[in-house]
Amino acid sequence: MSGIASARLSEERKAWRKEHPFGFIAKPGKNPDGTLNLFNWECAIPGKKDTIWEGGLYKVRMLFKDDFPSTPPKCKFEPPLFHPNVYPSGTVCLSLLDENKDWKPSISIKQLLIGIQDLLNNPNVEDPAQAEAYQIYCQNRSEYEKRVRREAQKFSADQVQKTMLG
Amino acid sequence: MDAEATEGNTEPKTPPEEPSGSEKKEEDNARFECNICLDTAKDAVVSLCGHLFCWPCLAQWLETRPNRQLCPVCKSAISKEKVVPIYGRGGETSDPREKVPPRPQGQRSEVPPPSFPGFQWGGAEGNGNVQFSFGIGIFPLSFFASWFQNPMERRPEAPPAGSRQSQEEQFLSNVFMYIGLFFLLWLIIV
Repeated sequence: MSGIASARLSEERKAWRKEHPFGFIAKPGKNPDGTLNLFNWECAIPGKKDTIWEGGLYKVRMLFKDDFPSTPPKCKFEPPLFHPNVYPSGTVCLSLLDENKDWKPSISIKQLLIGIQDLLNNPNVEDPAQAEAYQIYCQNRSEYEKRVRREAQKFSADQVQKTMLG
Repeated sequence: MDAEATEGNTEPKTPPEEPSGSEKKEEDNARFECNICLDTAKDAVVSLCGHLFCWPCLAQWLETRPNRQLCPVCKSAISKEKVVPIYGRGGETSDPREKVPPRPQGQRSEVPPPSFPGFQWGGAEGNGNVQFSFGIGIFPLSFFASWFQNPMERRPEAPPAGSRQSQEEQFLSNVFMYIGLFFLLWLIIV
């Protein structure tokens, strides 16, 4: 029943256009023929102020299935991000995005993006998803912070915004 | 810049005290939005924890987790029986829960009981008493025979499958089956 899914996604889009948190981007992608693809959103999450992530804008793709919102979307950093809870493929590992953990249909796209933003500066060491960032985070915190700052520079908000908004 | 991304930032938030006409109406409507599709709830039902849904939306959610039915908002336990349909003025009066059975429930039909005309216990004359027979000598047959009552007396129709009554009857019939099995075992052991 994709009826519920597409109705919900167009409501999400409406709600986002009406109001959304500052600095975030979320928009449905386009099909090859130019029509909107509500099941594939291009999003971007800014690093929080006063954290090592500040200044960066991190691109995330949200992929929805036909049974959304019974199941959560898959969220993937593109390109993959240096973070203990991001898989090498870029997929975000977060209880909010796990249908057997904290996912529930009333969570909106806005809440998900804010949840992922929060995860950036609060990695969960119980649930590592990539070896590199996890090990550096545990063993050498100053090296970790240096690496993150480098990521923030690499994905500086101005540049990412340009590529996303054209 | 894409209008889509910036539009929201500049829009001033209306203070709750004196909202403008259209915005106030929208806010009011938001209170009657389904928590799943985020649109105005159609065929509305409310959970005991107070959360509003379209019944089709909620039915689909319940169907995906038949063993762990939780409220999509607050995760308290809910079930089809424990949501209350809401009837606004001029709306339909049929229970939305009846309207969208996500799929028909499985039905099993009873095998017609084998008949042994020689062992009609009581009842052939029409006195219609309920009879229990413990004829150990002809045990398997009498065990069946006790199922039959007066053939003249019509049994009530089976309730529709999936209804509460049929669930209860199913439960009762299971209980009797276990009693029967226990009796058989006991016979064998003794």
